[in-house]
Amino acid sequence: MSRELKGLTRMNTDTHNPHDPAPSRGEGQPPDPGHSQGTTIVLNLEEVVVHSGRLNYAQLVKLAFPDDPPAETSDIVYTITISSPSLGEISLARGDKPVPVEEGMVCHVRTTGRS
Amino acid sequence: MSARPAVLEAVLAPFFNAGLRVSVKNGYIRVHEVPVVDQGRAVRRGTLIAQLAYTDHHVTPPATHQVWFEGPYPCFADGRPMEQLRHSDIPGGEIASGIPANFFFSNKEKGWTSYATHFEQLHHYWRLITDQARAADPGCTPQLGRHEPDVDPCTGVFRYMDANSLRGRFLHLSAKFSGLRIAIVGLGGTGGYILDHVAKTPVAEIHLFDGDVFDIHNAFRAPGAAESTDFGGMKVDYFHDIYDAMRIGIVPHRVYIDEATKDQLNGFDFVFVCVDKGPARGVIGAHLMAQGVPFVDCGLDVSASKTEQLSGVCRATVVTAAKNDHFFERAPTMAEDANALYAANIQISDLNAMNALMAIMRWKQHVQFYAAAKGYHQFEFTSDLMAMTKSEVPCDAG
Repeated sequence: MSRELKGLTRMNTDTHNPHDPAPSRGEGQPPDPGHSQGTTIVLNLEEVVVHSGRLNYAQLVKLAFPDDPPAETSDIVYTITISSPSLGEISLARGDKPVPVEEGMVCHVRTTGRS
Repeated sequence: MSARPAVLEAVLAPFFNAGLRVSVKNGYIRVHEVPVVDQGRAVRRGTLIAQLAYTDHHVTPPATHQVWFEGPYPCFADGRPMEQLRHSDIPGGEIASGIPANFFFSNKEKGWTSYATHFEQLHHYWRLITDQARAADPGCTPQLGRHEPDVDPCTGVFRYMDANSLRGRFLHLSAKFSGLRIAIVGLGGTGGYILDHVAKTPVAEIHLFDGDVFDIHNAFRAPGAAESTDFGGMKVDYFHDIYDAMRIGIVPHRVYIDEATKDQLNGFDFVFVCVDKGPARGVIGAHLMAQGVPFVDCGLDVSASKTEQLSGVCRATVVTAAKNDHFFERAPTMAEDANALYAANIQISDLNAMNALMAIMRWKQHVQFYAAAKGYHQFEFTSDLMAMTKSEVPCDAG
């Protein structure tokens, strides 16, 4: 299971998920200039280091569910919520502008179909 | 409720025995033909009014010492207004449908704590006002003779009066729900809590759609407390039987809504969609949009962290005549994916209730019961942050 995207590296910072046999720490593509240290955000309750200045809907889906089909075109609808120091509480839908990645950002990428 | 429940006899007897003409209507008790001095020192007639909440078996004691008055502002025998009565004027001259009033009074004796009876409450004001009338015209308070109290039957959808709207003096606002026909599709956790709140508004009809059985696990994410004998029947019948105790107009439909049954949703004023199958959500959403029926689609996720703590995301997607282009980008209409993350199917009653409350409060904005600062059509609550996102504002609303 790949945890890498161009410009994005997911780093598991505590005991790794039993569903995930390949935790990756500090590996990955060369980061964007100016983001060499990466930015730690919380994604679906896990800390993740992001080496990218901005993230859009599909990139967040890829980071959260690497095995899911590409979110630009898939029929899966994700509910993405972001709490960021500069933007406050926002919702991100397919086609929305990418959001700046910031320390302290808390994101959820979920499918909200239960009742 | 019968026209004149026996329980009212104790309330009305003291008025009857005092020779006062009294009537009961729409949650109010009125004393008629009260002699009152006007500012021109003429003795005229007015009406004293107090709230009277009751069922066939129970009368609520007076909640306050305050009363209303219909008629000229009461004056002393010399024509000076009795300022010690004054609280406020009644805008519009009516406190409820068919209950005209001009003034709200607030006056109590030193050391007053409560009135045990409506007679004590109203007689306090009756005495203050008529003492002055008698000083101006000693013959103005003859015994009126024994008038049978005039009690209007309670009407409406509730099996007893809406004493909450009465006590809070917002009956005229609750009237915004009158006559509405509402559907709830799916009576799982979220749908159950939606019913819990819709049932307490005076909407005319609440139609429940669900083809599923009420089983033991459902009790742990439904409002109220199920008995051990409640399981195995249909969900819609279980919920109908509970809420039927409070109101009429709840109609159970023991069907799932799909392509074959979707026309049963035609013509409703508002639909709450609380299903957990994506394709069913898609069929229902597309059909309601084609029919021009406004609705809110609810859905939630509960996931566990590696440290075995839960986090929930609740979503309410609203579709109205003002905006519907976001539905298929916001509501999951795909078939269930096999991702192990969802296989556990964790559901928690308070997250169902939270999701229901998001839908209910937005619906109450839609009918203009609640003020809406913005016309948001999408809401997401995250429990780890206790935060709400708001989005999808109609273009012309900015």
